[in-house]
Amino acid sequence: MRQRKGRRHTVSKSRYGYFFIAPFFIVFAIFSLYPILYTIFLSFQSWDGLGPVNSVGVKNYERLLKDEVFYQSLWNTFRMWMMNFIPQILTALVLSAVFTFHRIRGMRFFRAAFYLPNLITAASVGLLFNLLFDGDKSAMNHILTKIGLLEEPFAFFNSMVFASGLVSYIQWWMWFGYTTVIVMAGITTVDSGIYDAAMVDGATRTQTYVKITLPMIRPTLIYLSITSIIGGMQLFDVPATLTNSLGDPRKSILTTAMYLYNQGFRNHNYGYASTVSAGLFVIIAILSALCMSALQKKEREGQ
Amino acid sequence: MTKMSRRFFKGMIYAFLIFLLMLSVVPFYLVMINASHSSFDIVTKLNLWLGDALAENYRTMQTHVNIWRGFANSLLISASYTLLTGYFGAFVAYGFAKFDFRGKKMLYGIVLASMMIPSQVSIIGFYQLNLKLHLLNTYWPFILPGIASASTVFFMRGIITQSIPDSMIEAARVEGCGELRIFNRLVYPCVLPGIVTMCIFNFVASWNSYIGPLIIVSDSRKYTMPVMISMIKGLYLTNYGAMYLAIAISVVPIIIVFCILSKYIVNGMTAGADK
Amino acid sequence: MKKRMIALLMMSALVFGTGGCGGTGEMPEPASPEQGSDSSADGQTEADPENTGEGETEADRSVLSGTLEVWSSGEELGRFVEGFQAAYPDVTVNITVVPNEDFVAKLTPTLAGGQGAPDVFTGESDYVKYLVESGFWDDLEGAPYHADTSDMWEYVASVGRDSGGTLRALSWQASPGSVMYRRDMARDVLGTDDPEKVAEMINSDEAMLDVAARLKEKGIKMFASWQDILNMQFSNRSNPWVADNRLVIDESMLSFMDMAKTITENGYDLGVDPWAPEWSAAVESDDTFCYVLPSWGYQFVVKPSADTTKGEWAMCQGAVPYVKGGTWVGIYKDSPNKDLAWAFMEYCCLNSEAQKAYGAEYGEYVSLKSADKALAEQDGEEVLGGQNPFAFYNSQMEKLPADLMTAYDGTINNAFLSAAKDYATGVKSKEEALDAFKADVANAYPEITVE
Repeated sequence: MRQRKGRRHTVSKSRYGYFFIAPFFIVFAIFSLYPILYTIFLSFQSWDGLGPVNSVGVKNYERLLKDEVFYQSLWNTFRMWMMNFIPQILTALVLSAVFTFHRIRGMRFFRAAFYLPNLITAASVGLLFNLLFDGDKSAMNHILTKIGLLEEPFAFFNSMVFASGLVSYIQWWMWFGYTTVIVMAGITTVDSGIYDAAMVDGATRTQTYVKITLPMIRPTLIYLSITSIIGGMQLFDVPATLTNSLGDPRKSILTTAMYLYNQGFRNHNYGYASTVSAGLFVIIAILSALCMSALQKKEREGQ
Repeated sequence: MTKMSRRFFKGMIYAFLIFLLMLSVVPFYLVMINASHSSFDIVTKLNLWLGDALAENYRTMQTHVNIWRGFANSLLISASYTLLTGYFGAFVAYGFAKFDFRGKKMLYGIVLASMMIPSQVSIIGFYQLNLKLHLLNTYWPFILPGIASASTVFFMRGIITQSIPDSMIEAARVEGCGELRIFNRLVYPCVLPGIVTMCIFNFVASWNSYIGPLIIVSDSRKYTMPVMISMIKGLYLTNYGAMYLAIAISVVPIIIVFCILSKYIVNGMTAGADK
Repeated sequence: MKKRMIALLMMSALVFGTGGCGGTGEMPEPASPEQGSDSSADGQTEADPENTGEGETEADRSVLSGTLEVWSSGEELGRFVEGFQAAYPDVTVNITVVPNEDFVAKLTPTLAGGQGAPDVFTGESDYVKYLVESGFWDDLEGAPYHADTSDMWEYVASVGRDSGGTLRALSWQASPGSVMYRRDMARDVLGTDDPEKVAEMINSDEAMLDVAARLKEKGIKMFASWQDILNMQFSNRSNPWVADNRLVIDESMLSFMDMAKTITENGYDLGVDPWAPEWSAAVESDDTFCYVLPSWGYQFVVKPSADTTKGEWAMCQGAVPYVKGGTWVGIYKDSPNKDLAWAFMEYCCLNSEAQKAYGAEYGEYVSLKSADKALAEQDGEEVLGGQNPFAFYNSQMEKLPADLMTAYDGTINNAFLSAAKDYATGVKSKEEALDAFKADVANAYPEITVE
């Protein structure tokens, strides 16, 4: 409600608008534009990285449209994103509700601790989890057989379901603390008078949270969903370091970013890797637009 | 009954929090503990308590890289980058949140789209660009883009829209404040908690960024922490202990930054949501 | 108060930011002097231009001076620097170790960009042929180098030659393989720990599987991982992976898949990938018999971890003599410091005395026959119960088959291992696994014909 009012009444001192957004576009033009244009150029070429660059027209794009591995990698990436994003946003909403409505001893400590997993480089996290799960005598097999959850050691990394689930779990584990912090930052901006009013009206805490807080922080939730889908669709480090960087077992954790990295730096098809890049960009843009319109539609309906 | 159930409810909450705490801390703890074990111990045992190879690992690490130098390099980059994102993120977001101008929708679309570009292949173009700008072996390519941090703009735009009423800005204009002054004196302090939140994440992201510095910086004295860690890791397991030690060292400053800055978030929080 | 401080910081960031922004166009960083811009290569070499020029005109090598930039994917090359600088006191060698995993990712943009490349850089076996064929390494038999490789093991030099026969790269090392087995277990089960006799018992794929069955009766797993055997099987091939732009699946690769299945089904190995924790731990186990690894496997796996098993290891030949892996080194074609580069390369790769000292200190097998033969005369290794690895490796190098390396090996090997694993663990039939493998190769290299 509020932000709609805000948007309609934006102050029209338009030339200052350009002044404020100028720094972004200047730096963007200097540092980002050329690499983007160069990648688009490469996507129409055949190039092994060291030899001459040959134009191949739209051949790379034709190949992309028929490339099963590309589609498989997109599905993998999307699936692993969904499987981590839904639990992640639910955890964050529950945690921020708990922190907002209950006096929790050591709240700051908990929140900081939940953020810890995000501090370790993703590549190291992949390696750490590999060490925990790989092999019959690995730490996890050792523990699980000892407490009787497993009859005999399980070949974790030969199971497509497990590997894919583990990637989602790691992503959830790394990011739920971050998401919580962001949601709480959003809640901060909500005028506390509204809560008092709601409480006076006899609403329970849960009702207040769902009916009042969540709609008020919709821009924050949109931000989280969009950035999560953008980051999630570019997932690279964790699955690349968890197994052999080819997405084993049987390409179950091969993400599109890994695929294009391998096409480029391992197979030396830089032209095609650029095409995959462009394809991934289009997919991300479509998914973001869908996500954005879904959330904004709800916003309109909600009023 | 209600008192009992309320207490039970509270107990459940704490159990849930402690469960998440364990999940978050245990692997982190393992990294710290592994830093004091030999490589062979790390790959063969689940180590739960401090080992005796800390000094040895430190020596191994230092023969491969000068970790403190990498530390200083990373700190220089990340701190500068973070400060830029903190100021300009809000600056640009303010422009998008509170002004109407032609092409705004499209320009904002570009901001969002700039986040969607996979970085792996465009690194080739990025290298050539910096070659032409004579910025190879410098830190500018990692610091200056802080001015164009799309995710910060995106986030701050939401915060500014949510928390700065137009009337406040109008009032300041009526009093004769200049636009830049309104932003610096009025808007900026109001959205500081949001900025601090973003700064924490931007610092971490910059601190952990790897492929860019790897390709742009060739002078090993200018290597950053993540490049050094990857170097220690190498191909062979003989360096695991040293690698974990380096990771442990690299995590410390982020914890400190987080502890200092999280006070600001909490202050903002209690101001807004205290019952 | 605090808020004001932060705001102040931000303001200073603004000033600092715009200052930097305005300067991006022409601002030269102190550490990247532009004096190299006329000589087409290298924005970052810190060579004093005067000294370099002097070095180029001087014929006498001992007065060479300047700074040499070297990129290496490992640290071994750095071990030569001290000795080299004793011989050439006025030359500074800057070794930049680039993380192995991402060496190509760093090298490609640099070479493609045409500037900022080092004078000397390495190439690992997985992609050395790609670099050799690229033309970015100078012809080492042409002027001004005139390399004489008569003392180098033929295999090492042949890998450094491109398809037209031009020598592009050399190496300071060679990596012949062995079966590294436990003497104590060999005595118990096979009745002898003598390398010659054990070699006799495992001189074919079938013989190896027979021994594996005998070991299993005693509760011992023969191999740490069946995937290690691929190192050896590569030398058992009669065709490279790619010939005449066609994918060739050699007969030996098909039988390797069956071998992998037999091993997995009978539990003759630990069932883990190489470098997995358990695989590494097998050095000190009481139920794992051998590793099938090249010389670096002894250096990096067995030797550093052997503690209670010290003296209980030995090396012998398996089904065939083999060589796998290694790192080569070449000179950048547009290097402004070719004389320095060559002096360094010659010292590492062609100086027998230097290699002898290096091999003696680090135990690494080197690329010159004369150095290896001298090292074979020394005392044996404690870990190996007194066996001298150099003597063993020398015998293997004499018997090596021709080099079958291609530019595609890294990717194809990985795809093949994935396929073989799916077949071995029973997830796929042999046909399905091979189809998946072919699809992977076709996807990675569309220019290769796959049938």
